[in-house]
Amino acid sequence: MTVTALIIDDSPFARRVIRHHLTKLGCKVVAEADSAAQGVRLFDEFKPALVTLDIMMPAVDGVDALHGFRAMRQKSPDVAVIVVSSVPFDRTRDTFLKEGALAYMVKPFNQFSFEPVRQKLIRYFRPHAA
Amino acid sequence: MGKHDPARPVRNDHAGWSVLRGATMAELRAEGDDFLLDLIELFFTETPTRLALLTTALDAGDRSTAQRTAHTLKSTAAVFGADAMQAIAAAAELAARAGEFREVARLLAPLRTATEQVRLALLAERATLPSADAAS
Repeated sequence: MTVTALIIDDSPFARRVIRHHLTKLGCKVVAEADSAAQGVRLFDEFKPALVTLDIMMPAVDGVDALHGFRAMRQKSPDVAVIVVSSVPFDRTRDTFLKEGALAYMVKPFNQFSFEPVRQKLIRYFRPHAA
Repeated sequence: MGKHDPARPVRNDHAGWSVLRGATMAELRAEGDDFLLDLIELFFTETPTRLALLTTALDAGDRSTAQRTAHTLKSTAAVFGADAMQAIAAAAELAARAGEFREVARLLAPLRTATEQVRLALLAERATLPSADAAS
């Protein structure tokens, strides 16, 4: 089963890098959004199994990353959300992990950044294979 | 000319900071030509816009936009290991966050210079990519 993915990040660089690595992991990127508000709309449209969410994006149309995160999890409690940040704030990380984020990644990414995520995705989507 | 050592910086500016960190560029090359080419093209299209936005934000006294734009430029530099550009953008971000517009204005010229150095280095890098040859 191919894991469908939605990338939400206001940086086109970050979206390109994340798309590259998710594709390498075997995911299919079905949509990209540059704001949490657009991300929620695309989430409704494409219903991805996986979302990457930049938590440092400014709010657009009154929707910030946390609002977007909660909205998507409410619509689909099983959606796997990887939160992404350029700053490793412990409290912010703990908030999202406590609310059910699958993983927390810090930019900038390198070739090793996605390995822990790969392991978590395998355990989440193919628990019998883990 | 000998074979390029990926551990060496691609180019050095006069301050001794790498324009593009060799190890970072080696990692990006290892991920594939098309990927690196996309990132380089994004740099060419995005950074002039961001620099213009930073200038506009300064003129308008818009602290939030200035901080966010400097942050974006810092993140962009980090993608390529552009240490000098990243350091100046980081200083601009801090100054913008503190509302020190005079300091941000002072950093604009060095930031433009550092960005231009990165642009030239990436132009040279792009010229070595087979995908670029095929596309042109």
